[in-house]
Amino acid sequence: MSRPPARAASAAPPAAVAAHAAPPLWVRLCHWTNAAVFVVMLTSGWQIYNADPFWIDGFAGYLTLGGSLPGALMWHFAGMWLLAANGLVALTLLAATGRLRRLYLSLGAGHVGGERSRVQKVAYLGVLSLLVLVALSGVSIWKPVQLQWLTQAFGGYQVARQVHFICMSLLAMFVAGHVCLALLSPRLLLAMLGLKRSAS
Amino acid sequence: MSDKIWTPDAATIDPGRRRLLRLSLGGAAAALLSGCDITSNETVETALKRVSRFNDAAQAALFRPQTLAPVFSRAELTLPFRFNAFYSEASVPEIDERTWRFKVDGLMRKPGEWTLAELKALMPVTEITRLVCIEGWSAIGQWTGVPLHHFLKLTGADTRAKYVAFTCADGYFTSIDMASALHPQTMLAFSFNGSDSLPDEFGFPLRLRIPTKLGFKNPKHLTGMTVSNTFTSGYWEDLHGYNWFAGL
Repeated sequence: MSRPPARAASAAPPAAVAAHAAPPLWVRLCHWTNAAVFVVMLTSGWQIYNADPFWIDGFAGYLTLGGSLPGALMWHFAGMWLLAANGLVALTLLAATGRLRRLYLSLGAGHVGGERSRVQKVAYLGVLSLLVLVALSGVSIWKPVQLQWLTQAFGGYQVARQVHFICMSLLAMFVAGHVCLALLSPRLLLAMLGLKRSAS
Repeated sequence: MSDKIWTPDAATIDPGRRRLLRLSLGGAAAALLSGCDITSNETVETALKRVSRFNDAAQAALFRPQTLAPVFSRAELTLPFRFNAFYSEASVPEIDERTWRFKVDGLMRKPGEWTLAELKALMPVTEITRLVCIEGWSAIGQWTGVPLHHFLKLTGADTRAKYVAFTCADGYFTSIDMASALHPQTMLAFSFNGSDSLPDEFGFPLRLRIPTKLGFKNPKHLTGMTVSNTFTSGYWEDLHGYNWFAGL
């Protein structure tokens, strides 16, 4: 559907500005909540892994949260609720506001009205899928009796632990790259912090 | 009488001593860590324990009394089975079957003491299930014993009571919710992998086998069982902060 040019010009800001405009408040809140909870889940998860390592020897103590296994488990099973709640809010709003469809699921090459590039779309959808998988595999090793169908779907209890570990590793790698890129483009970082409304 | 065997009951450790033990363990844990340990901050610890109590309730709500833990074939047995306790294998208590008694009391019509022979005479069931340790490892074993729901019925226990608590010859203690106690797969086990009795390291003469809960909710070397409405927590739960419900 084509719009009258004058209306389009007044309604939509120039592409470059739109791409750098501060995301809506709910995006920023969900993003930073997720970031904080992710750090808790990652570091407490490493401590839990250290109680029975299977692929690598273990994670250095200074990288872990909880002090020891009981403390780490308390952090992990508290963070779990916040991760899930925040994730559900984010996914619901991403779908309801059309942001997911507009920016990440459209088939264009990107950069029109803030639409992401193909690489960005793949990365974003990939990380969303990984977050869903890490949550489901985590739940499956938490409840291998009550939710045994889920544990079976991951290939049984021990395999589900490995799936959880792989998801964690891929997410950690994404976060490492994501943080590097964010530091290399301070304007986007400030926008996500809500400190900068748009690029000049 | 339970006082004839090995060590005194852990339930007799007074709260002050328990707190001291907890403090010294906390201190040791803090000393092991470089820098600050956020978990030992009192406010943080209180908040985390509150969430853990919430998780008890969440797991109780998620628990389905008729959902059975997966069962396995003899070919899937984990051999050798892994030993685990709060002490090394050299410290496993050696219990004299002749003097050992299983003392049951609390909210029941027929409290009393049971010998191993009397328990073994109670229509045993055998099941191969997975024991999941809170550390992450798991092992498949075959246990034979009397279903706990059957034993509770025999002793005239009030099954509307909230908790079933266990004490052990090695000082260990723990407690479970009544719904899990009545689960069809929960048993008082006296035989392992088809042998006549439990091996010493796996809980001779009697242990709780509950495949719907983590390994530490499967106390070994049982000496007593109490049905009550009073929450008595457990060794790892109380001393170290493991989640009490610990459901699978």
